[in-house]
Amino acid sequence: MHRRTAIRNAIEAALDAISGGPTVLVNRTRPIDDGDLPVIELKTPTDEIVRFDKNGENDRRLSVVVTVYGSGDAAYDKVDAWAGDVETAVYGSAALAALIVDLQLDRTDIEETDQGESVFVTATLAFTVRYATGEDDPT
Amino acid sequence: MAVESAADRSAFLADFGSTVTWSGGSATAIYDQAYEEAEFPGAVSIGSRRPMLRAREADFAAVAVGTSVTVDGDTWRVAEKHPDGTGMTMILLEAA
Repeated sequence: MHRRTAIRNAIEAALDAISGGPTVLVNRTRPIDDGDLPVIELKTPTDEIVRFDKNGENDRRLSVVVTVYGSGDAAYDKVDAWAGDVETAVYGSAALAALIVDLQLDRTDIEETDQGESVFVTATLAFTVRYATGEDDPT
Repeated sequence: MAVESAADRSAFLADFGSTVTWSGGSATAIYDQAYEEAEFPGAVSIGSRRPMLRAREADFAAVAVGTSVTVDGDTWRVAEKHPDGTGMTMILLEAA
């Protein structure tokens, strides 16, 4: 298994473990039905190799995007609270820490719309995960 | 000369409309709840409905934003009123 996949799985497990938290979806592409809210979506869209190490090690930066979706009255506050739970869960994951060099939350964007039968709110947390793999062994 | 009269609009609503009730009144309107996606930059969209009424503006003059209305067994709250300037109005609804 690629280390990137293992990292994503570790984050998914950490998000799944949020007590009373929303359902976690990974790499979702189709629309989410509003009846299924709240949900958390996880994706790892880019993996940049920053430099080629002379010792045969690739220093990598994996972007991790976690989006929390909620709806209804007080959705903003609920989504904001879950976004806090996401931060706590990701930073607190021992399984993730064992796979990476470092982790940083770059930004959180909160969006709100009334396009539909309810108010919908998303909080998108963008993390950068630094990790290293061998040039010929990305596991 | 107006293209359509108040009577024309009433006849149209009588043929295709549903009865909408609220505290203190009722009137006829065309009820739609078409599929709509709420879109967010860089995120998956949310599939929802866009419930709305099309009605004679005069029939719903007393229905303010925030009023709870019932139509075809569904209860909604009036979110926005969009009069079109010809005597008709579009009323956007939201979850009550």
